[in-house]
Amino acid sequence: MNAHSSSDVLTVMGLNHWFGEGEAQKQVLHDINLTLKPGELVILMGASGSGKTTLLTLAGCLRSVQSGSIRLLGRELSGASEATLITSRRQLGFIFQAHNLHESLTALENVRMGLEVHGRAAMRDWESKARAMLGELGLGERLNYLPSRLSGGQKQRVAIARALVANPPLIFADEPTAALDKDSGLAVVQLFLQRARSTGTTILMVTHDNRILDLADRIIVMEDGRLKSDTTRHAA
Amino acid sequence: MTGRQLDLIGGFRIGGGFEADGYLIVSDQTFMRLFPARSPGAPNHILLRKTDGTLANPVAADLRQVLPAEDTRVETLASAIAKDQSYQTTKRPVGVVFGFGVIIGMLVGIIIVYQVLSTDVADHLKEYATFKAMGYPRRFFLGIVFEEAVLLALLGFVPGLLIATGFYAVVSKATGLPLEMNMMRASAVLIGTIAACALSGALATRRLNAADPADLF
Repeated sequence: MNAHSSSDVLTVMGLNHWFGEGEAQKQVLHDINLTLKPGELVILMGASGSGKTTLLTLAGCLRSVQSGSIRLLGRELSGASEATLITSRRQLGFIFQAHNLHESLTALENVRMGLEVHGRAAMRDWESKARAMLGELGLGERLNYLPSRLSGGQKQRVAIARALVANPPLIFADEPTAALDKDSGLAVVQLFLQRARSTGTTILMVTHDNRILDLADRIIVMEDGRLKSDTTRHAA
Repeated sequence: MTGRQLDLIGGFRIGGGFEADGYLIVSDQTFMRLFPARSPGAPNHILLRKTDGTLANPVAADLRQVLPAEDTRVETLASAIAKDQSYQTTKRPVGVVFGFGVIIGMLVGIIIVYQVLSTDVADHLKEYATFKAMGYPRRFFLGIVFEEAVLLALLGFVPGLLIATGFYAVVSKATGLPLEMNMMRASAVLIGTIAACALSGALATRRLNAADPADLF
Protein backbone atom coordinates (compact mmCIF):
# COMPACT_ATOMS: atom_id res chain seq x y z
CA MET A 1 0.00 0.00 0.00
CA ASN A 2 3.06 2.21 0.32
CA ALA A 3 4.13 1.81 -3.28
CA HIS A 4 3.27 5.36 -4.26
CA SER A 5 3.43 6.14 -7.93
CA SER A 6 5.86 8.74 -9.15
CA SER A 7 3.00 10.83 -10.54
CA ASP A 8 1.44 13.60 -8.51
CA VAL A 9 -0.66 12.62 -5.56
CA LEU A 10 -3.03 15.55 -5.82
CA THR A 11 -3.56 18.00 -8.65
CA VAL A 12 -6.05 20.86 -8.27
CA MET A 13 -6.80 22.96 -11.34
CA GLY A 14 -9.01 26.04 -11.66
CA LEU A 15 -11.01 25.16 -8.56
CA ASN A 16 -13.83 27.51 -7.59
CA HIS A 17 -16.37 26.96 -4.87
CA TRP A 18 -19.46 28.75 -3.64
CA PHE A 19 -21.57 28.49 -0.50
CA GLY A 20 -25.23 29.43 -0.31
CA GLU A 21 -27.74 29.91 -3.09
CA GLY A 22 -29.15 32.81 -5.09
CA GLU A 23 -28.63 36.27 -3.61
CA ALA A 24 -26.78 34.92 -0.58
CA GLN A 25 -24.29 33.00 -2.71
CA LYS A 26 -20.71 33.67 -1.72
CA GLN A 27 -17.58 32.50 -3.49
CA VAL A 28 -15.19 30.93 -1.00
CA LEU A 29 -12.54 29.57 -3.37
CA HIS A 30 -11.17 31.44 -6.41
CA ASP A 31 -9.23 29.64 -9.14
CA ILE A 32 -7.11 27.40 -6.91
CA ASN A 33 -4.20 25.59 -8.60
CA LEU A 34 -2.12 23.23 -6.51
CA THR A 35 -0.01 20.09 -6.93
CA LEU A 36 1.23 17.81 -4.16
CA LYS A 37 4.22 15.56 -4.82
CA PRO A 38 4.61 12.16 -3.17
CA GLY A 39 6.09 12.30 0.32
CA GLU A 40 5.67 16.05 0.75
CA LEU A 41 4.59 17.61 4.03
CA VAL A 42 2.64 20.70 3.06
CA ILE A 43 1.27 23.08 5.64
CA LEU A 44 -1.71 25.22 4.76
CA MET A 45 -2.09 28.46 6.66
CA GLY A 46 -4.43 31.41 6.60
CA ALA A 47 -6.96 33.32 8.65
CA SER A 48 -10.20 31.58 9.52
CA GLY A 49 -12.63 31.92 6.66
CA SER A 50 -9.86 31.97 4.08
CA GLY A 51 -11.09 28.70 2.58
CA LYS A 52 -8.55 26.22 4.01
CA THR A 53 -11.08 23.76 5.37
CA THR A 54 -13.21 24.02 2.22
CA LEU A 55 -10.19 23.18 0.07
CA LEU A 56 -9.29 20.29 2.35
CA THR A 57 -12.82 18.84 2.39
CA LEU A 58 -13.09 19.15 -1.41
CA ALA A 59 -9.79 17.35 -1.94
CA GLY A 60 -10.74 14.82 0.74
CA CYS A 61 -13.94 13.80 -1.12
CA LEU A 62 -16.09 15.15 1.71
CA ARG A 63 -17.71 17.80 -0.47
CA SER A 64 -18.79 17.72 -4.11
CA VAL A 65 -16.68 19.68 -6.59
CA GLN A 66 -18.69 22.50 -8.20
CA SER A 67 -16.26 23.97 -10.72
CA GLY A 68 -12.73 23.10 -11.75
CA SER A 69 -10.86 19.85 -11.41
CA ILE A 70 -9.33 17.80 -8.61
CA ARG A 71 -7.31 14.72 -9.50
CA LEU A 72 -6.68 12.62 -6.44
CA LEU A 73 -4.39 9.57 -6.73
CA GLY A 74 -5.23 9.30 -10.42
CA ARG A 75 -8.98 9.79 -10.12
CA GLU A 76 -11.00 12.84 -11.17
CA LEU A 77 -13.30 13.98 -8.37
CA SER A 78 -15.31 16.49 -10.38
CA GLY A 79 -18.57 14.76 -11.29
CA ALA A 80 -17.30 11.50 -9.79
CA SER A 81 -19.77 8.72 -9.02
CA GLU A 82 -20.54 7.70 -5.45
CA ALA A 83 -18.51 4.53 -6.03
CA THR A 84 -15.43 6.51 -7.12
CA LEU A 85 -15.80 8.81 -4.11
CA ILE A 86 -16.02 5.83 -1.76
CA THR A 87 -12.91 4.23 -3.32
CA SER A 88 -11.01 7.52 -3.05
CA ARG A 89 -12.09 8.12 0.55
CA ARG A 90 -10.71 4.74 1.50
CA GLN A 91 -7.26 5.70 0.21
CA LEU A 92 -7.11 8.80 2.37
CA GLY A 93 -6.52 9.42 6.00
CA PHE A 94 -8.55 12.39 7.21
CA ILE A 95 -7.92 13.89 10.63
CA PHE A 96 -10.56 16.32 11.79
CA GLN A 97 -10.50 19.24 14.21
CA ALA A 98 -12.63 17.20 16.57
CA HIS A 99 -11.58 13.64 17.17
CA ASN A 100 -14.97 12.28 15.97
CA LEU A 101 -14.45 8.97 17.70
CA HIS A 102 -17.38 6.64 18.19
CA GLU A 103 -18.31 6.99 21.85
CA SER A 104 -19.47 3.43 22.33
CA LEU A 105 -16.33 1.83 20.87
CA THR A 106 -13.04 1.40 22.71
CA ALA A 107 -9.79 2.92 21.42
CA LEU A 108 -8.90 -0.41 19.83
CA GLU A 109 -12.32 -0.79 18.20
CA ASN A 110 -12.23 2.76 16.87
CA VAL A 111 -8.92 2.03 15.19
CA ARG A 112 -10.40 -1.22 13.89
CA MET A 113 -12.96 0.89 11.98
CA GLY A 114 -10.05 2.28 9.95
CA LEU A 115 -9.23 -1.25 8.77
CA GLU A 116 -12.71 -2.71 8.45
CA VAL A 117 -13.58 -0.34 5.62
CA HIS A 118 -10.89 -2.01 3.50
CA GLY A 119 -12.55 -5.40 3.61
CA ARG A 120 -11.57 -8.84 4.72
CA ALA A 121 -7.90 -8.79 3.66
CA ALA A 122 -7.17 -5.71 5.78
CA MET A 123 -9.04 -7.25 8.69
CA ARG A 124 -6.62 -10.15 8.93
CA ASP A 125 -4.56 -9.54 12.10
CA TRP A 126 -6.53 -6.35 12.67
CA GLU A 127 -5.94 -6.54 16.37
CA SER A 128 -2.15 -6.71 16.17
CA LYS A 129 -2.13 -3.89 13.58
CA ALA A 130 -4.36 -1.70 15.72
CA ARG A 131 -2.42 -2.52 18.89
CA ALA A 132 0.89 -1.67 17.20
CA MET A 133 -0.51 1.59 15.82
CA LEU A 134 -1.85 2.71 19.19
CA GLY A 135 1.40 1.60 20.82
CA GLU A 136 3.42 3.80 18.46
CA LEU A 137 1.25 6.76 19.44
CA GLY A 138 1.84 6.05 23.11
CA LEU A 139 -1.56 4.56 23.89
CA GLY A 140 -0.47 0.97 24.50
CA GLU A 141 -1.89 1.14 28.01
CA ARG A 142 -5.25 2.55 26.97
CA LEU A 143 -6.34 0.03 24.32
CA ASN A 144 -9.65 -0.87 25.89
CA TYR A 145 -10.64 2.57 27.15
CA LEU A 146 -13.79 4.22 25.87
CA PRO A 147 -13.29 7.75 24.50
CA SER A 148 -15.07 9.20 27.55
CA ARG A 149 -12.21 7.96 29.74
CA LEU A 150 -9.45 9.43 27.56
CA SER A 151 -8.05 12.96 27.66
CA GLY A 152 -8.43 15.29 24.67
CA GLY A 153 -4.89 14.60 23.50
CA GLN A 154 -5.37 10.86 23.87
CA LYS A 155 -8.61 10.95 21.91
CA GLN A 156 -6.98 12.86 19.09
CA ARG A 157 -4.16 10.30 19.07
CA VAL A 158 -6.75 7.52 18.70
CA ALA A 159 -8.23 9.44 15.77
CA ILE A 160 -4.76 9.72 14.24
CA ALA A 161 -4.20 5.99 14.75
CA ARG A 162 -7.52 5.33 13.02
CA ALA A 163 -6.45 7.47 10.05
CA LEU A 164 -2.97 5.95 9.80
CA VAL A 165 -3.62 2.28 10.53
CA ALA A 166 -4.35 1.35 6.91
CA ASN A 167 -1.20 3.17 5.70
CA PRO A 168 -2.92 5.64 3.36
CA PRO A 169 -0.67 7.23 0.72
CA LEU A 170 -2.17 10.65 1.50
CA ILE A 171 -3.33 12.28 4.70
CA PHE A 172 -5.37 15.44 5.17
CA ALA A 173 -5.32 16.99 8.62
CA ASP A 174 -7.58 19.91 9.44
CA GLU A 175 -6.16 21.65 12.51
CA PRO A 176 -5.78 18.35 14.36
CA THR A 177 -4.75 20.22 17.52
CA ALA A 178 -7.52 22.83 17.52
CA ALA A 179 -9.21 21.24 20.51
CA LEU A 180 -5.99 20.71 22.48
CA ASP A 181 -3.81 22.97 24.59
CA LYS A 182 -0.56 24.14 22.97
CA ASP A 183 1.87 21.70 24.49
CA SER A 184 -0.13 18.51 24.20
CA GLY A 185 -1.16 19.67 20.71
CA LEU A 186 2.46 20.00 19.66
CA ALA A 187 3.31 16.61 21.10
CA VAL A 188 0.42 14.99 19.22
CA VAL A 189 1.35 16.60 15.90
CA GLN A 190 5.00 15.69 16.26
CA LEU A 191 4.06 12.09 16.96
CA PHE A 192 1.68 12.07 14.00
CA LEU A 193 4.21 13.59 11.58
CA GLN A 194 6.97 11.30 12.72
CA ARG A 195 4.85 8.21 12.15
CA ALA A 196 3.40 9.37 8.83
CA ARG A 197 6.72 10.51 7.38
CA SER A 198 8.43 7.26 8.26
CA THR A 199 6.20 5.53 5.69
CA GLY A 200 6.58 8.21 3.01
CA THR A 201 3.01 9.43 3.28
CA THR A 202 2.08 12.73 1.64
CA ILE A 203 0.53 15.14 4.14
CA LEU A 204 -1.54 18.28 3.70
CA MET A 205 -2.17 19.87 7.07
CA VAL A 206 -3.92 23.01 8.21
CA THR A 207 -2.37 24.45 11.34
CA HIS A 208 -1.85 27.71 13.19
CA ASP A 209 1.02 26.46 15.29
CA ASN A 210 4.20 28.24 14.19
CA ARG A 211 6.35 25.70 15.99
CA ILE A 212 5.40 23.05 13.46
CA LEU A 213 6.35 25.14 10.41
CA ASP A 214 9.98 24.10 10.72
CA LEU A 215 9.01 20.55 9.88
CA ALA A 216 7.22 21.43 6.64
CA ASP A 217 8.60 20.99 3.13
CA ARG A 218 6.22 23.59 1.77
CA ILE A 219 4.08 26.29 3.28
CA ILE A 220 1.02 27.54 1.45
CA VAL A 221 -0.81 30.62 2.68
CA MET A 222 -4.42 31.30 1.74
CA GLU A 223 -6.25 34.59 1.87
CA ASP A 224 -9.87 35.27 0.95
CA GLY A 225 -10.20 32.05 -0.99
CA ARG A 226 -7.01 32.49 -3.04
CA LEU A 227 -3.54 31.02 -2.71
CA LYS A 228 -1.45 33.96 -1.56
CA SER A 229 1.96 32.34 -1.37
CA ASP A 230 3.52 28.93 -1.92
CA THR A 231 6.99 28.56 -0.45
CA THR A 232 9.13 25.46 -0.82
CA ARG A 233 11.48 25.31 2.15
CA HIS A 234 13.53 22.27 1.21
CA ALA A 235 13.14 19.52 -1.34
CA ALA A 236 10.98 16.59 -0.30
CA MET B 1 -90.98 -14.49 24.84
CA THR B 2 -93.26 -12.95 22.19
CA GLY B 3 -95.92 -12.84 24.94
CA ARG B 4 -95.54 -16.46 25.94
CA GLN B 5 -94.20 -17.86 29.14
CA LEU B 6 -91.55 -20.55 28.75
CA ASP B 7 -90.10 -22.77 31.43
CA LEU B 8 -86.31 -23.04 31.35
CA ILE B 9 -85.22 -26.54 32.18
CA GLY B 10 -81.44 -26.24 31.94
CA GLY B 11 -78.38 -24.37 30.60
CA PHE B 12 -75.55 -25.15 28.18
CA ARG B 13 -72.26 -23.58 27.14
CA ILE B 14 -71.82 -22.40 23.58
CA GLY B 15 -69.90 -19.08 23.82
CA GLY B 16 -70.88 -15.70 22.42
CA GLY B 17 -70.74 -14.04 19.06
CA PHE B 18 -71.37 -10.85 17.16
CA GLU B 19 -74.74 -12.07 15.85
CA ALA B 20 -76.64 -12.52 19.10
CA ASP B 21 -76.37 -11.95 22.81
CA GLY B 22 -77.53 -15.44 23.75
CA TYR B 23 -78.95 -18.67 22.44
CA LEU B 24 -82.00 -20.74 23.33
CA ILE B 25 -82.78 -24.28 22.31
CA VAL B 26 -86.47 -25.10 22.03
CA SER B 27 -88.39 -28.05 20.68
CA ASP B 28 -89.80 -27.89 17.14
CA GLN B 29 -93.29 -27.53 18.55
CA THR B 30 -92.35 -24.55 20.71
CA PHE B 31 -90.41 -23.01 17.82
CA MET B 32 -93.45 -23.11 15.55
CA ARG B 33 -95.53 -21.52 18.30
CA LEU B 34 -92.96 -18.75 18.85
CA PHE B 35 -92.51 -18.02 15.12
CA PRO B 36 -95.82 -18.76 13.45
CA ALA B 37 -94.60 -17.24 10.17
CA ARG B 38 -92.11 -20.06 9.71
CA SER B 39 -93.33 -23.22 8.07
CA PRO B 40 -92.24 -26.61 9.37
CA GLY B 41 -91.08 -27.78 5.93
CA ALA B 42 -88.53 -24.95 5.42
CA PRO B 43 -85.70 -25.08 7.98
CA ASN B 44 -82.73 -22.70 7.91
CA HIS B 45 -80.15 -25.21 8.93
CA ILE B 46 -80.12 -28.97 8.97
CA LEU B 47 -77.46 -30.64 11.06
CA LEU B 48 -76.42 -34.10 9.86
CA ARG B 49 -74.50 -36.37 12.15
CA LYS B 50 -72.64 -39.29 10.60
CA THR B 51 -72.42 -42.41 12.68
CA ASP B 52 -70.73 -44.85 10.31
CA GLY B 53 -67.26 -43.25 10.36
CA THR B 54 -67.24 -42.09 6.71
CA LEU B 55 -65.30 -38.92 5.87
CA ALA B 56 -67.27 -35.68 5.92
CA ASN B 57 -65.87 -34.24 2.68
CA PRO B 58 -67.01 -36.99 0.25
CA VAL B 59 -70.42 -37.10 1.90
CA ALA B 60 -70.75 -33.34 1.49
CA ALA B 61 -69.67 -33.65 -2.15
CA ASP B 62 -72.27 -36.36 -2.78
CA LEU B 63 -74.97 -34.23 -1.15
CA ARG B 64 -73.99 -31.26 -3.33
CA GLN B 65 -74.54 -33.49 -6.40
CA VAL B 66 -78.02 -34.38 -5.25
CA LEU B 67 -79.33 -31.10 -3.81
CA PRO B 68 -80.05 -28.03 -5.96
CA ALA B 69 -77.26 -25.46 -5.57
CA GLU B 70 -79.55 -22.43 -5.92
CA ASP B 71 -81.29 -22.90 -2.56
CA THR B 72 -79.04 -25.31 -0.61
CA ARG B 73 -75.46 -25.06 0.62
CA VAL B 74 -73.74 -28.15 1.94
CA GLU B 75 -70.82 -27.57 4.28
CA THR B 76 -68.75 -29.76 6.55
CA LEU B 77 -68.20 -28.40 10.05
CA ALA B 78 -64.66 -27.27 9.14
CA SER B 79 -65.63 -25.45 5.94
CA ALA B 80 -68.62 -23.82 7.65
CA ILE B 81 -66.32 -22.44 10.36
CA ALA B 82 -63.80 -21.21 7.78
CA LYS B 83 -66.53 -19.52 5.71
CA ASP B 84 -68.05 -17.85 8.75
CA GLN B 85 -64.65 -16.59 9.92
CA SER B 86 -63.82 -15.14 6.56
CA TYR B 87 -67.30 -13.56 6.38
CA GLN B 88 -66.96 -12.08 9.86
CA THR B 89 -63.49 -10.64 9.25
CA THR B 90 -63.73 -9.37 5.68
CA LYS B 91 -67.42 -8.66 5.00
CA ARG B 92 -68.92 -7.61 8.31
CA PRO B 93 -68.33 -4.02 9.51
CA VAL B 94 -66.78 -5.22 12.78
CA GLY B 95 -64.19 -7.29 10.91
CA VAL B 96 -63.40 -4.50 8.47
CA VAL B 97 -63.03 -2.02 11.35
CA PHE B 98 -60.61 -4.38 13.09
CA GLY B 99 -58.71 -4.77 9.80
CA PHE B 100 -58.34 -1.00 9.58
CA GLY B 101 -57.22 -1.03 13.19
CA VAL B 102 -54.33 -3.27 12.15
CA ILE B 103 -53.39 -0.92 9.28
CA ILE B 104 -53.55 2.17 11.52
CA GLY B 105 -51.52 0.31 14.16
CA MET B 106 -48.88 -0.45 11.53
CA LEU B 107 -48.75 3.19 10.39
CA VAL B 108 -48.45 4.48 13.95
CA GLY B 109 -45.75 1.86 14.58
CA ILE B 110 -43.80 2.91 11.46
CA ILE B 111 -43.96 6.57 12.53
CA ILE B 112 -42.86 5.85 16.09
CA VAL B 113 -40.01 3.56 15.04
CA TYR B 114 -39.01 6.11 12.39
CA GLN B 115 -38.89 8.78 15.11
CA VAL B 116 -36.80 6.58 17.38
CA LEU B 117 -34.37 5.58 14.62
CA SER B 118 -34.03 8.99 13.00
CA THR B 119 -33.40 10.58 16.42
CA ASP B 120 -30.74 7.96 16.98
CA VAL B 121 -29.18 8.60 13.57
CA ALA B 122 -29.28 12.35 14.28
CA ASP B 123 -27.62 11.81 17.66
CA HIS B 124 -24.78 9.92 16.02
CA LEU B 125 -24.63 11.97 12.84
CA LYS B 126 -21.07 13.12 13.51
CA GLU B 127 -19.88 9.58 14.03
CA TYR B 128 -21.71 8.33 10.95
CA ALA B 129 -20.37 11.27 8.94
CA THR B 130 -16.88 10.27 10.01
CA PHE B 131 -17.49 6.72 8.86
CA LYS B 132 -18.87 8.04 5.59
CA ALA B 133 -15.78 10.23 5.23
CA MET B 134 -13.62 7.15 5.76
CA GLY B 135 -15.28 5.43 2.83
CA TYR B 136 -18.00 3.32 4.41
CA PRO B 137 -20.77 2.70 1.85
CA ARG B 138 -24.50 3.26 2.18
CA ARG B 139 -25.21 -0.38 2.96
CA PHE B 140 -23.00 -0.17 6.05
CA PHE B 141 -25.30 2.45 7.58
CA LEU B 142 -28.40 0.63 6.41
CA GLY B 143 -27.01 -2.48 8.10
CA ILE B 144 -26.57 -0.67 11.42
CA VAL B 145 -30.03 0.87 11.31
CA PHE B 146 -31.68 -2.39 10.20
CA GLU B 147 -30.02 -4.15 13.09
CA GLU B 148 -31.47 -1.55 15.44
CA ALA B 149 -34.83 -1.86 13.72
CA VAL B 150 -34.95 -5.65 14.07
CA LEU B 151 -33.93 -5.38 17.72
CA LEU B 152 -36.69 -2.85 18.30
CA ALA B 153 -39.14 -5.13 16.51
CA LEU B 154 -38.18 -8.13 18.64
CA LEU B 155 -38.12 -6.14 21.88
CA GLY B 156 -41.55 -4.77 21.07
CA PHE B 157 -42.91 -8.10 19.91
CA VAL B 158 -42.24 -10.18 23.02
CA PRO B 159 -44.12 -7.98 25.50
CA GLY B 160 -46.71 -7.31 22.78
CA LEU B 161 -47.34 -11.03 22.37
CA LEU B 162 -47.59 -11.56 26.15
CA ILE B 163 -49.97 -8.62 26.63
CA ALA B 164 -52.08 -9.65 23.64
CA THR B 165 -52.32 -13.24 24.88
CA GLY B 166 -53.40 -11.95 28.28
CA PHE B 167 -55.99 -9.62 26.75
CA TYR B 168 -57.30 -12.43 24.55
CA ALA B 169 -57.87 -14.57 27.62
CA VAL B 170 -59.55 -11.77 29.59
CA VAL B 171 -61.72 -10.56 26.71
CA SER B 172 -62.63 -14.09 25.71
CA LYS B 173 -63.73 -14.86 29.27
CA ALA B 174 -65.64 -11.61 29.66
CA THR B 175 -67.51 -11.68 26.34
CA GLY B 176 -67.64 -15.36 25.55
CA LEU B 177 -66.22 -14.59 22.09
CA PRO B 178 -63.90 -17.26 20.75
CA LEU B 179 -60.47 -15.57 20.68
CA GLU B 180 -57.22 -17.44 20.31
CA MET B 181 -53.61 -16.50 19.66
CA ASN B 182 -52.24 -18.93 17.12
CA MET B 183 -48.78 -19.29 15.57
CA MET B 184 -49.98 -18.04 12.20
CA ARG B 185 -51.28 -14.80 13.61
CA ALA B 186 -48.27 -14.28 15.89
CA SER B 187 -45.73 -14.87 13.11
CA ALA B 188 -47.68 -12.69 10.66
CA VAL B 189 -47.54 -9.86 13.21
CA LEU B 190 -43.82 -10.48 13.80
CA ILE B 191 -43.02 -10.39 10.08
CA GLY B 192 -45.15 -7.29 9.67
CA THR B 193 -43.40 -5.63 12.61
CA ILE B 194 -39.94 -6.37 11.23
CA ALA B 195 -40.95 -5.13 7.78
CA ALA B 196 -42.39 -1.93 9.29
CA CYS B 197 -39.24 -1.36 11.35
CA ALA B 198 -36.97 -2.00 8.35
CA LEU B 199 -38.97 0.50 6.29
CA SER B 200 -38.62 3.04 9.09
CA GLY B 201 -34.89 2.37 9.21
CA ALA B 202 -34.47 2.93 5.48
CA LEU B 203 -36.33 6.24 5.81
CA ALA B 204 -34.22 7.27 8.79
CA THR B 205 -30.91 7.04 6.87
CA ARG B 206 -32.06 9.17 3.93
CA ARG B 207 -30.47 12.39 5.19
CA LEU B 208 -27.19 10.64 5.90
CA ASN B 209 -27.10 9.19 2.41
CA ALA B 210 -28.03 12.34 0.58
CA ALA B 211 -25.58 14.78 2.16
CA ASP B 212 -21.86 15.35 1.62
CA PRO B 213 -19.93 14.21 4.71
CA ALA B 214 -18.59 17.74 5.22
CA ASP B 215 -22.14 19.07 5.64
CA LEU B 216 -22.90 16.58 8.41
CA PHE B 217 -20.30 17.61 10.97
